[in-house]
Amino acid sequence: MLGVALAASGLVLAPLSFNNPGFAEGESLLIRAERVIVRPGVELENQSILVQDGVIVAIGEGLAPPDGAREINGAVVCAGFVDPWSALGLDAGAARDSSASAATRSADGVDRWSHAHHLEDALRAGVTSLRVQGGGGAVISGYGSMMRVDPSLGGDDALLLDAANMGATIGLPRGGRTRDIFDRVSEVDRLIGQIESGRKYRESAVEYKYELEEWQKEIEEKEKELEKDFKKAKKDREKDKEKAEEKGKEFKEKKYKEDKKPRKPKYDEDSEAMARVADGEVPLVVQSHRYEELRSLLEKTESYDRLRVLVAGGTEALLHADELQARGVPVIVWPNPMGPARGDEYDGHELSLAASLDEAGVEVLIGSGGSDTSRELRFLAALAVSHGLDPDAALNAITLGAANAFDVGDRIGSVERGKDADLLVLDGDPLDTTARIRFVVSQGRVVVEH
Amino acid sequence: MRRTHLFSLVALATASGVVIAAGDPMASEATLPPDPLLPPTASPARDVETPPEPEPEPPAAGILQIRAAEVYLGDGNRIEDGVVVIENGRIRNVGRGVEIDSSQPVLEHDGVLTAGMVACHSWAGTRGENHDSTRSMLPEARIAYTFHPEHSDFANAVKAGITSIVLAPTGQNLAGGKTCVVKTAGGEVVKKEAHLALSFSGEALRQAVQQFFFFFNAETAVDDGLENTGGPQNGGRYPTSYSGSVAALDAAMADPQGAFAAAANGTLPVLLEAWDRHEVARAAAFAKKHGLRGAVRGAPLAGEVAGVLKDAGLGAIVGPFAVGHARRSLDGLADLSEAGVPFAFSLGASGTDPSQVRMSAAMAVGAGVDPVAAWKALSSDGARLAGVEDRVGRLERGMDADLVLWSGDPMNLATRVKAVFIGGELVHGGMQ
Repeated sequence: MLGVALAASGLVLAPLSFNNPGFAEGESLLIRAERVIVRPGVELENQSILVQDGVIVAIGEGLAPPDGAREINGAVVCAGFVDPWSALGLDAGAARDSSASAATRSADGVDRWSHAHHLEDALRAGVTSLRVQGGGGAVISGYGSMMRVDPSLGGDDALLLDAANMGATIGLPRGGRTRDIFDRVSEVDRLIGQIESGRKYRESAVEYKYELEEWQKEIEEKEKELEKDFKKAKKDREKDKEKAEEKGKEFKEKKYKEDKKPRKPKYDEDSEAMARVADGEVPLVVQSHRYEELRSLLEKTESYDRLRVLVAGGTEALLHADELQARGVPVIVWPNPMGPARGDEYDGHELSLAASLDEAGVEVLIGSGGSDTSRELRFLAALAVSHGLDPDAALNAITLGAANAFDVGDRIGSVERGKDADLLVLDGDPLDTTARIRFVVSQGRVVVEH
Repeated sequence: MRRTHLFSLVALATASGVVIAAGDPMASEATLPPDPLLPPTASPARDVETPPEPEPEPPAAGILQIRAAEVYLGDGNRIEDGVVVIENGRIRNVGRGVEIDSSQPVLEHDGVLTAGMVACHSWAGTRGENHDSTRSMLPEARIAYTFHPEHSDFANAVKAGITSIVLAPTGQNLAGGKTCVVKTAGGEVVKKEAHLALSFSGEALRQAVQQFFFFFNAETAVDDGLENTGGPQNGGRYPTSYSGSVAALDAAMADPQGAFAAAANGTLPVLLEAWDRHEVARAAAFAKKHGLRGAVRGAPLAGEVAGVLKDAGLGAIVGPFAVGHARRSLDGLADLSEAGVPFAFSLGASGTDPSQVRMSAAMAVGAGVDPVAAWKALSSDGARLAGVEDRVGRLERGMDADLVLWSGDPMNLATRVKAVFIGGELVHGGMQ
């Protein structure tokens, strides 16, 4: 229906958002802005954005509002913020879960009803999507999910991408205790072991598929052969049977090697999940902070050329900046000004980390540290800017960069035709914390008005 | 590196793209004159800084002129294209169209110039020596004695644009002693006795009693099965109840001596540690009853009892608010502001990232507090609640030349600190 409507209006549109629950079906919205930040570093002046059925269908000068369209005028429009490292909406137990394994879905730990007020706060603060990661107490934390923040969406309706990533934590305190260096580094080995078993699992699945095909082919050939020589074979069999009876022996049917069907590898959901990681189908987000664990992680993942690794936290990641840059490993930074009560892993915490990594050519994302404080995402990005981060890099870190890293960059993260209409209308620059967010639009619906 | 000579300004100018118009940098060495506001007896902290031989007379005045795109005076007013003239570590002149002496250096700043920020409460740099677990009443204790000017807390505060800090005892003593106000670079104690710190914090008092108990009686008490009974097993520290604590303070005020007397006659403000709203109400009633002036500190929900504070004429020192702090606290600041209760921000415990102070104000602005009120909380209101409004917090003739050069509006959290001056000396920024 959506496609038909758009075809009729003569607009080209990527085939998106057909299965978006919560999108503003049948509604249209025209936003006029003095500045449209299409994506960080790309701006248009005095443009109108036409939104229909939850999707941006046109951006241009002086677009006419369709009948019944709501019209909004504002100074600046940019994409809704995307928090790439959050636990907002997750049940507290699920967020800290230490018994998670690779197949654990963060989406299963989501309790949007009891967190509705936090979601509402985040939405008011301009965060329209986020990645939730549970299993924070486990080395392998399971699948993280990209979720929409809009609290009116219940349960799975809010899911943008169920299996957005595989989570892992390396070297964090377990049960309130900081582990020694050997324990911490051994967690890298556990992670690598799981990746390797995932890789082997997929390999054996591929082998099985091949062997099964071979076997079926052989069976077919044998059957043809048997059919052809059916009479002879029947005689031979009868002869053998008679002989056996004469000798008073039990008659045994002749065995063919084709009777041995290849064994299907036992299905293992964790290995299946890790196979997807090893194959690069889902990115691997490793929360790790210290130099030693990061070194071990980088060394031991190097041979997996399909693996897509991201580091979360990365307190001492700057010491590996060259390698992170060369291998294209992004770091999700948490520029939180901390007090003395902090985990040991944040001992060397610096608000300038994002700026330093960005200067060294490492891709930087900014998240709320796997907490439920996504509503402060804009302040965190602003803090990173005040400590040296380039403002465009900071905006990228909480919009398009975050969307791209988790494979939803074709749907959210920028203000472009065909994308979901997740938009902010502000009085000024998105990272100027004195500029008010006047409207928040999620999937074409005006969900916040100030 | 106590003194930064003006030739560092050349380096600053080169590094940050600002231009020094004139002046021989080598000829303009600035030295602080003796401080007329300090009593002649030097504080211990000052002793650390002062070399044994007497300092020579200050040389001829070094003058620095800074022209900025915008100047925030700290009293709520802003001037565009303003000039601040610094002489001998003090502000000689400030305003728009102030005549520039072309024979002296001029620093051009394409941003905002403000007074340095004031953190109105902190346990910074005191190495934990800001309470005493054995006695509940220490009204004469001076926190100034614990000031260690080389502690990293102060250097970090400078980088965040904080130039003055109130050092206070914790709330673990009923009367924790006298707070002081220090500069974050240079080791100067601006005011040795800024407040008498009293505690209405049930939690802090309880902790103190428990600490004392564990320290002295843990073994025998456990043997006796008395570990949780409190009372005489607390090792002798009294009072052991909240109402007893308030009674003890009331008794001290009935016949006030020493610091209590100074508080009673209004020469020494009080800093009343109070967290829960009922504690704030209790502290306010106490202040009203005994005619005390000052502020409550802690009080995350002070805004919800703004009327009580207004009635008692007290200010509120709040925060710092960490990321994820309850929204109610920030919303409450708007209520304080509307009620006309002056408020300022704390820097909190030693090791706290001082960025939290400006972030607290920026988040308050995000929650609806007027940006002018929020900036005053960080500057002139902070100085007023610290009792040093005659020295810092505003840009005005005769005030200390504690200045911050910002890339833009300091209430925008994304704004950067470009340079910091304390007493007219560059202490952060440029090639420093």
